Amino acid sequence: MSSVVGGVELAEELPAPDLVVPGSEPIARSQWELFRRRFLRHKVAVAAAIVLVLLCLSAVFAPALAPYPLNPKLAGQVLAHARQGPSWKHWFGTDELGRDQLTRVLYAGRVSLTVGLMVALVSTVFGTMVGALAGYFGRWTDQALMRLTDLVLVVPPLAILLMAGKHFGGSERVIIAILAVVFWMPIARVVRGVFLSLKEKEFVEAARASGASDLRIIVRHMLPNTIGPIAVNTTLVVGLAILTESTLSFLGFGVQPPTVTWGNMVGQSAQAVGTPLAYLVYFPGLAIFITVLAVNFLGDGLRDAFDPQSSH
Amino acid sequence: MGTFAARRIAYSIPVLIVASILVFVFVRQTSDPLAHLRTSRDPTVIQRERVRLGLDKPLTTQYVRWAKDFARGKWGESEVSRRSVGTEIRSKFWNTVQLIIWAMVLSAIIAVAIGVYSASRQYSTLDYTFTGLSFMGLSMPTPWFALMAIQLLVFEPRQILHLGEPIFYSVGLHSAINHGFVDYLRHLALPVLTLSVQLVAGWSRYQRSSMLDVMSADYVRTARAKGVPRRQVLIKHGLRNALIPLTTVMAIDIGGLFAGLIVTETIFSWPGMGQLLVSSLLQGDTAILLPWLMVTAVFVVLFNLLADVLYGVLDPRIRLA
Repeated sequence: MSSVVGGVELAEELPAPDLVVPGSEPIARSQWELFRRRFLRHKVAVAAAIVLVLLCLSAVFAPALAPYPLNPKLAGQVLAHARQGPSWKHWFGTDELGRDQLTRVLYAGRVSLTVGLMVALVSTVFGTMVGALAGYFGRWTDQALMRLTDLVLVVPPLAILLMAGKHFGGSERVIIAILAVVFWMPIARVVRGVFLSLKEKEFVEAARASGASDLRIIVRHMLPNTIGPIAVNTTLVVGLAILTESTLSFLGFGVQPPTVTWGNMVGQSAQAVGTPLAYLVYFPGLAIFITVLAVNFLGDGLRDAFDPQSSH
Repeated sequence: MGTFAARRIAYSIPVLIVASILVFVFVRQTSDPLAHLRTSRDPTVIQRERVRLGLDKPLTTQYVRWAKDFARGKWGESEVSRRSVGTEIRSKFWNTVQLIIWAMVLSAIIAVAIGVYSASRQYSTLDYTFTGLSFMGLSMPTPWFALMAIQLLVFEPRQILHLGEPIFYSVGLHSAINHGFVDYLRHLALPVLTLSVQLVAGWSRYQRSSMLDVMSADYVRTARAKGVPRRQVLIKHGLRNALIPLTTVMAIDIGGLFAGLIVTETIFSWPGMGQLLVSSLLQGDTAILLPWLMVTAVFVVLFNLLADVLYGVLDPRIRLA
């Protein structure tokens, strides 16, 4: 090929279609393929996803993984092992009653992770429904939603949660329920916002013009386009729910002993600060921190993967 | 400007009234003002107290009566200490406001500095470091951070350096004997640090992105093109405009800050509103709950008003719209 001097000649030099090098032809990629590729490029998010999978597995298989029983029966024998710092025999040490802390952290993870995931699930389902209705139909549903969520900004949510936790008692289900009552609202607001902007799009108008019902437009045309923001906010709610549950349990208004959660373990370890038993504080809190950190990085990866324009 | 402020105030009054109704119903449903009498064998005592407090009336009548009393400053008395609730809250409120002011001012300064630096050196090593740190801050369980801070900053240095007394204190506002500003700061340091972690993490991310938005605006390119030095563009054109959205975020976060305050004050035995709430709940002192929620609600609304007005001052487009 001769060198090209003028732009006019360039057009003639374009390779004919049959000259395309095999393998370099543009590949039609599906949305999910694109999503997967973008997500895998975010190395930290991939690492976070792996950490989360491992954490979930360790929670599911806690009874098999735990080196000691959760509630030891032979009290005398166990007390002989009390107050031991971290060692090969007891990785996280033992408390003043001789209970192995690694065992307790593993079992506590089951409760903390369940609470986080269930709160996110319930809030997402309910928040998406309310947000979709408010954004699509507007009017009084929209007004009611916006004013209600305004109120939450006025009254400190943790104060309400503490009172509810005290009144309704500290079973796992109650804590999930009262946390979901707070956390559906941010999701509803996000979904409402996306629906408001989607409502004006041409494809929605086209669907309506071709006679689709409101329900079909919402479910088939608009919801799939809301998947990104919903997924991102659901992961954020998982993290927030785990943090809030731990705070409630720490203060004694969350999940009550004998059920162990990371939060009430931190609460029980509070008096160990400044004593030789201070190691009791380290591990349950570290477990919360690593879990929530991984959840937040995963959310960041999902955000980038769903919406490449919203890069940092 | 006057009408702008008046409009904001007019909007916040119905919000407060609706909030007070919901809070009233919630507290009446979830707490029993007569719990401390339930152990008494004599049912006439409970009946007499029920009538005295008006609990035999319908809920609407109760609300109107309570709202009138609350507006007149008759907030009732504590069921445990028998002190007036008004005095109790007033003695705690200022201590909490001190924590709020210190934490917010300190966090705002650090967050703005980090945000501006990260935006001006985007994708530098330090920018990535700050991003990582902010993720860690947002994932930090507050109670654990506070306990770790006490262990690592109070007890460990004291043990290693063989100090008679710790560098920072982890209990209360003042020492029993020592008063004065330095002593005050040594008590203040750890609670403020605990509160600031989440604030700095959130605000610095926000400041960074709003700074990046502003720096890609046309007028910034114009300023650079006509030869204004980079540093001056960053501060005068960039920061001046990027600070405006931060005021809104700061105002919104004040409600959430109370969550941090409840935990922090409880751990550091700080005699403030958060500790008052937790100890009242633990002792079953229900008389505190309603006034507590209303005082914080009014505080949050006033704070948001202040931010709105400040927003109008910083950005003339808002108040003229």
